Amino acid sequence: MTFQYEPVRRLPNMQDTGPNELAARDAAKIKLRGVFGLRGYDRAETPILEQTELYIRKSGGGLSSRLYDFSEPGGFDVSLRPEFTSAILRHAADNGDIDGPVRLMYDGPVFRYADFGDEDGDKTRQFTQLGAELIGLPAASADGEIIAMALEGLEALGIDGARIVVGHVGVVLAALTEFNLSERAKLFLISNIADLKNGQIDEVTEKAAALGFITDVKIDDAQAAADRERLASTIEQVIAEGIGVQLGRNTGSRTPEEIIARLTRKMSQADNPDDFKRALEMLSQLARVNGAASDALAAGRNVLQEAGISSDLIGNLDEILSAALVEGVPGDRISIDFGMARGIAYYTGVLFDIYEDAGASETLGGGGRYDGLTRALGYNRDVPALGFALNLDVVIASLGDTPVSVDDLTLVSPTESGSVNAAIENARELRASGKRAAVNFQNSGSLSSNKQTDGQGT
Amino acid sequence: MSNLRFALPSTGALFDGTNNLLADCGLGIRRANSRRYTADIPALPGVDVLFQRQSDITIEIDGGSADIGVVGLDRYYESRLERGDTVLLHDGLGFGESKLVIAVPDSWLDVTSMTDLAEIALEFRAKGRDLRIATKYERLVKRFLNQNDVNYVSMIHVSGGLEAAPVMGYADIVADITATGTTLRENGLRILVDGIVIQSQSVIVGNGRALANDPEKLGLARQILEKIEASLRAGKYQRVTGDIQGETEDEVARQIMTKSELSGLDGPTISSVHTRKKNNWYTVQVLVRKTDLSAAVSHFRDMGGIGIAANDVQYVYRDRCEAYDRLVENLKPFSESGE
Repeated sequence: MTFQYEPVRRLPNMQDTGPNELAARDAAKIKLRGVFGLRGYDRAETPILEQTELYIRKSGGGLSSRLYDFSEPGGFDVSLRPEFTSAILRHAADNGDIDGPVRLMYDGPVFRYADFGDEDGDKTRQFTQLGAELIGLPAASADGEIIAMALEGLEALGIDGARIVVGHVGVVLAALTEFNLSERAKLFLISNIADLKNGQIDEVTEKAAALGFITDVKIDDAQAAADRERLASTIEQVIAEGIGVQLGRNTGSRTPEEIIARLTRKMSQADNPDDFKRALEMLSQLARVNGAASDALAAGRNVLQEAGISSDLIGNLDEILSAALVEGVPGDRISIDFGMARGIAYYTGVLFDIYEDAGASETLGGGGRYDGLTRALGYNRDVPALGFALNLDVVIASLGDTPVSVDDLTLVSPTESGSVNAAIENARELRASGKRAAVNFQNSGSLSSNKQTDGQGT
Repeated sequence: MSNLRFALPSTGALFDGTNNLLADCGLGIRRANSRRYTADIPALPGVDVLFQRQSDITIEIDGGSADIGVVGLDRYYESRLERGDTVLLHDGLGFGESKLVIAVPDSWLDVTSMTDLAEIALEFRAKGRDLRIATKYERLVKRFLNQNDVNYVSMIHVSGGLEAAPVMGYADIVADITATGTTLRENGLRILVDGIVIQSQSVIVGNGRALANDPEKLGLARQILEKIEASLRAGKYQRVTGDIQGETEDEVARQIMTKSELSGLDGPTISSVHTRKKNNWYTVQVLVRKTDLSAAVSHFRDMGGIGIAANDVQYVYRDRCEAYDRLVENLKPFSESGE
């Protein structure tokens, strides 16, 4: 009895790449490397496999929940890389280049898991990124350089009308800082910006109430009173009897001192619900501001002024747009979206997404500024840096079926050559002259074939 | 003849729930004794019942050693192979309702939300160790934690009684299934306000490849689904009958149907009552939702109705079996692939 194996299928949402697609990808890589190289960017390559830690240090849940992470045979917790930026930055730092300016570019596969029900659930989980990082330059002109270069690259590939949508985390963060909020409250608001952009302020308010940021909306009074009572009596007991026994039957792996210390800290940093609500309302307004650059900038300034905040905060965004214009980016290809959200939490300044045209929904790529990432990665200072990456698979798909020229293959027939050996010799001569040639060994036993060569495209 | 292998949970709430549901459907299980792990359904020859550990059922169906089975939705999502052979046949049997939650020691007064937990994980990290979480649902829990920025965690796999883990010291917090939260509370644990990983209840899953390529198995699965669907639907309805006086049958019908939610699934059934006196009494019969029962009775009374009675119904069939239609849809990839 023989056992019939089933074919081993590819993993869900993973793809093979055939000769035509690979040729198109290679051609695109060469063109882009050429364009970026002219601007002084050099190539770097980093491992596909890294310690998971590299990616969770400051990436936020949007990316860390999409990691392909596992234990490797040497005992390390590792992940397939979901992006290049962290590793490229480390590469620059390890080479003593951290203060820059350094211009680096890279390309290769990245891996991001997404459940089928999730936002990116239908996308390929392995895709090819090609990008660049500009490390060590804070000026708005560096941002302009990166934006312009991204568009130049696409133009070199034949995508002439690409649009850039620009946002700015720095503006949003600075605006929130005016409300005297805790880090925790600011993080909550930033991470809900996508919902606010969609007008779901009620849902976000409800969530904020559940987490205790807003105390007069939808709160279970009895529960709150019980909590307060318990808290008060616990603290009383702790003070009266010394820290220890009364916290409950067990405090697990944390000491009562740790719990009380953090509780005190949390209570002293508690947000004023009115400040929080004003910040929420401001952000909900700001997140919905988008459109042509000059209109959106004016509308954004309005929102800030109405909230009693200096509209100068938007100045940096204005400078970045001017820098992009100087670099030759046509003004009508840039629009602004203050509600732009990103799954990767390390951005600190400008953010942008690139689209094939005004109507496209899938991004060709995007980027942004991440001035605090070096410190998060363990280096002793913040280094200004920004970068972008194109999703080459999407870029190539948007080029359509542009034929990539691959030279014809000549199949040399042994019957026509007289013998297998003669055919091999013929093929070698053809290759020596730069032609693609292979022996059609299938023909070696068949004298009925009278084909001499068989030109066959791939 | 290929029998349909029907895997059922061997213990716990899902065992009781499944037994009761099948009995209500007229598909009672016959088991020689409670230690036997196989049984049959006398009303449905051709079905082999296999009692299995709930945590194994999805894996067995994925691997083809059982054809269909009853599991908790949480268990299904935890163990299934993504885009594997297992498909959802019925998405809610109405028992085994529970949720998978993240709970911390009640004494951690400073930790109420996932954001707090993310900070605690960082604090642990700063001290050189990971936050340890005891769970039977590593896959679902890890993803949920990561989505909430709780990144530095070690998953401690525990197969039973994990509520005790923090006290005993082999984990810091737990992620466990709970229906009411009582067991967690009694063990000094508190659920985080936004710590719900998944809401679950019992479902039926099946091996799409096996069903798509075996008409006999598919036929048996269909009969089970039809009965369950009709029985679950019947549980929501009662049949109300009463005698009503009226000029004509149409006149009675018109009055009944002034309230659409009280006029039955498709309309009332009306028949003449043949008495010796005047012959203008009609018996009216309608199916109403249980929640509409008292409104229906009032409506009958307002029309002068007498002899009003309400009964449970055992099955309510619609023109199509929705679960079966969905199954046929779900099986398409398996039959079209020609594998």
